[in-house]
Amino acid sequence: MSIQRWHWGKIVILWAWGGLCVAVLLTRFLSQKAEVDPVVSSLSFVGSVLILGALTIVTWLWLGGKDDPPTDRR
Amino acid sequence: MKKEWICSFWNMSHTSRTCAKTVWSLALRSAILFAAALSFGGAGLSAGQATAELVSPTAQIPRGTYKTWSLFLVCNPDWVAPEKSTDLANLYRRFKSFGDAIGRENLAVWFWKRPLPVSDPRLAENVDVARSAEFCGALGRAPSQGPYLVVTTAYPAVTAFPTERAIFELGGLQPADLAKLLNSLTDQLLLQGRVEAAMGAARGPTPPGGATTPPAAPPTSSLWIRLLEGARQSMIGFGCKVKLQIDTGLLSAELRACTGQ
Repeated sequence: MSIQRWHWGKIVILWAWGGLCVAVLLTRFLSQKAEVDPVVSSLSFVGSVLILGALTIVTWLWLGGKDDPPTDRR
Repeated sequence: MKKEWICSFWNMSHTSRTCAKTVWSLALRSAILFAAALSFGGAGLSAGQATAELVSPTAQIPRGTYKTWSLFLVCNPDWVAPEKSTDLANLYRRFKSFGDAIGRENLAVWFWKRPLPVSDPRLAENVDVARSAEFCGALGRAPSQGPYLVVTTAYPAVTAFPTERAIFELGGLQPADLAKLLNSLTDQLLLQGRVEAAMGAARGPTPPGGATTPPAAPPTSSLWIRLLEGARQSMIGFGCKVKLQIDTGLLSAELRACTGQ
């Protein structure tokens, strides 16, 4: 039977930095009407979505996996 | 093979092929739902604004989807004297009417220092003359001949003001003449999306290339901007509806509803 194992420390570090970047981008996106500067608003919005997507992918692909439980060889 | 972990995660015992189909189906549905949510958010918004009253020295002129920008520039110090408040209020009302009449694809811009009712007797003091003066300097126009109405078909950045522009001196105009001028401009902006050169030349001296007949700027992707704005408003609205309270015994914090957007 395989179990899901996560590298919790790495996940916390990764999402902390990613969350900070997304927070900055979303703050920029929410603080000004899109029609004032559409390019910057687009980049802020798309960037925040892409970062979240990338973090999700990295987390799922490399920070978690199916591992067999250690066998007890006493 | 790569997608099988999703099926495993959701306890879906599929083969590799059916799993891939399921994954793509879920992704497609999610994308459609996301696009629909954005569309509904954007549908509630107006198609744009016809007037922009900038009430901060650093507020940017909206860049969006407009065909033309019409700047009311009060750079003349005489016009911010207290006794000029009535004339200024009249000019401002003309600006509002003009801004409404030229439609949503044309933007009229006015510079204030801070939000203040038009009926305020200190209205003249509230005009952001310094900012208007920056534009007058960029245009090479004497402040004493103002106020000016400048119409451009490109974004009016003070550092790189469009060379194709029409400049109208409003200072020496009687109210009837001012109304006539703004009515003519309204007709042209609304129907043609531009201002005739002859009009600008008739109202005052213009620099070389000043009053020209620029071609109408092609409208940019307004749909995308409306979708973005819809998403922004939806996120702000969602944030305002959420009331978060943290009480740790020693410290209590509460996020209240938004008062304005």
